[in-house]
Amino acid sequence: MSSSSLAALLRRKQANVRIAGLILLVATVLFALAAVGFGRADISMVDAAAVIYGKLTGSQEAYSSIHAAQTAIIWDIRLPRILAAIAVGGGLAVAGVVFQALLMNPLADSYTMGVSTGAAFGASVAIYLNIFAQGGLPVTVFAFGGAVLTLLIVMSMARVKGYVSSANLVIAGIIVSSILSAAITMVKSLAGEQVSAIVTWLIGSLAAKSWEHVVYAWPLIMAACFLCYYYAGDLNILSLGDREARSLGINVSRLRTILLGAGALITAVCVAIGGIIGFVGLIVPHMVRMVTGSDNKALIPLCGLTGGLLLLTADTFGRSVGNIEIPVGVLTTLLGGPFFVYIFRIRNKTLG
Amino acid sequence: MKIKFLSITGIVVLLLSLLGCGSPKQPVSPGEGNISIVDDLNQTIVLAQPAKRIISLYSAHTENLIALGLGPEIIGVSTTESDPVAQNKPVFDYRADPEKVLAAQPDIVIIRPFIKQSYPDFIKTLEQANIKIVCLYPEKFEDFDSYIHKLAVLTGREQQAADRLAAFHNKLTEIADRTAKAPVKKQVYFESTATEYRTITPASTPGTVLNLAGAINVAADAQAIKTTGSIAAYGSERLLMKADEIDVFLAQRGPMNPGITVDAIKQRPGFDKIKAVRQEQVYIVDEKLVSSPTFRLAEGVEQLAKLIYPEVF
Repeated sequence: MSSSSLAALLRRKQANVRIAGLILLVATVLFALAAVGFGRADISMVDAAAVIYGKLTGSQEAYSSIHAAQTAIIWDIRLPRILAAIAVGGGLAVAGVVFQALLMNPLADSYTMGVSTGAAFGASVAIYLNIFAQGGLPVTVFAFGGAVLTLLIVMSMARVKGYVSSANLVIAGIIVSSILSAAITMVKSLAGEQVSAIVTWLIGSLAAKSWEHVVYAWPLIMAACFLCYYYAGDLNILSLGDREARSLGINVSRLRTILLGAGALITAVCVAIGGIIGFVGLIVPHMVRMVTGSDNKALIPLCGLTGGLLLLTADTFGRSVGNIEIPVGVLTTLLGGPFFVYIFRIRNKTLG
Repeated sequence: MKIKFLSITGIVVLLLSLLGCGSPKQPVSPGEGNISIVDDLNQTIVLAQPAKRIISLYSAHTENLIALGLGPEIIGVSTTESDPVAQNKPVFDYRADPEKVLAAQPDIVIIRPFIKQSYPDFIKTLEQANIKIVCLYPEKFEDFDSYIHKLAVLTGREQQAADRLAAFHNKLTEIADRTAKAPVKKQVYFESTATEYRTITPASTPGTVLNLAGAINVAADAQAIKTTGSIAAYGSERLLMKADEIDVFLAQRGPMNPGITVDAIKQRPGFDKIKAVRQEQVYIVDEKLVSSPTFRLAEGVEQLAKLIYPEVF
């Protein structure tokens, strides 16, 4: 194979990734628009479109004929929820890819490092204090703080002689995570019969998300995702092993710190908004990898789009089917497990 | 007339004295002999005499027993008691080992169905040790009188129960008369849980309390989550479709809906469109006053009526 044909192959591959990305992007936009039309309240697609158009262009008359409550349902309830689902789903998937590559572990996901347990602990404490100390503490902020603190503790534990290794990271994550789980259990038992509030939060749901959540989440998640994409080439080299990466002139320790920080930040934001939504960070990377191979340059953007699309579909299904809303965390966990088994079987067949 | 009365009395006295001579048995006075009731799990409980050593594992039962003047007879209470009389009593926990209950040797242990469903082993152990378990819980408001009556029969306090119930219903009638004077009927939404914005079924205890306070339940179309439960799914969208109809927004605060505040409700996305929020008619009510089957339900009805119709109070 000559170098020119190799370059041509690479170009063709990049073009394919671009086309796939474009298709996914269009699908996400279409799904999001369709999801605006789904819900308990009967609102026609035309009205929904009018509200969105009117709000975006700032022309009041576009939706002046539509009832104020219907406008609120479209603009204040459905849209923030849809956007939050896309951001959280995409973020968890990207974080999953990054952690799997960094820790060289196909079973790693955004929760392996114990970041989510930290967020859950922060949220539990905030909910507990809100119930028993009558404070109006913001649960989201506490969850985020818990996640960031946990990350710092795990990083400092894993740093041995100024060097962070992936094995140490996983172990430190497991240790901190189990300590925090015990602490959450303690908070739960202290809450007594009022425990339902904490349990509900831990299940993971995208109900009652406001624009505030979207405005904070999108920039943070997008920025961290782009940072991961920027270092995707280096991440590819890093997956050859530390020694090889170092001989190719990559500052392994620094790269690992940056990517861990980015991945954990994404996870922290996602958990702070939606609670613990399982399996997205595990399934999506494996699904996409079956198609694209393990090039992180292709994986990161495609996983982001696929994850967003997947969670949006799951959440829309959960909120519009049946009398009782199904929290999306329950749905992903229920469907995710069996699906993961299926992927595992398929993958082994193709390899064998 | 007088002669007739005297003769009858004479005959009765004669008969009684004959009976007294014939058998040494004590005359049967009310409150002794065989007491039997059927509890809410359709089990028949038979007692030889009114219970004197009672353990109550549900705060509403405790409160009602105290209201019937049974403070001294209660030898054990649940872990969550609010009544001041119950504060210093020994605490029994159905999540712990049943040994403590056995050691106390109660005449009856009064529970609610939830305890039997969640901790069947605890109850089974007690039953095997021949402890009498009474399971009571009035799901609906109209069951309240018969529930109080059952408690009274078990403890020999029928008279007190009748008095308390009469006073209770008098108070309700009084409130109904007052709210009837209100010029317009108000439409009220009642939130039972903040998660998923659940409301109450019209037939439930809080639903009835709402009716007794003279309010119209906006969410009367809500479907129950469980067939026998009091919670009904509603959700933000159905709620906002009725935004213009909701005159008053009530949310209960308690174990079902912990930590809820008026500010938290106002800040929810889209809630600024609700009439009650715009007109500052959002109130928090204590869950115990509207959901627990106690005589304080009358206070709950009064509180709600005062919040909804301040103009007639």
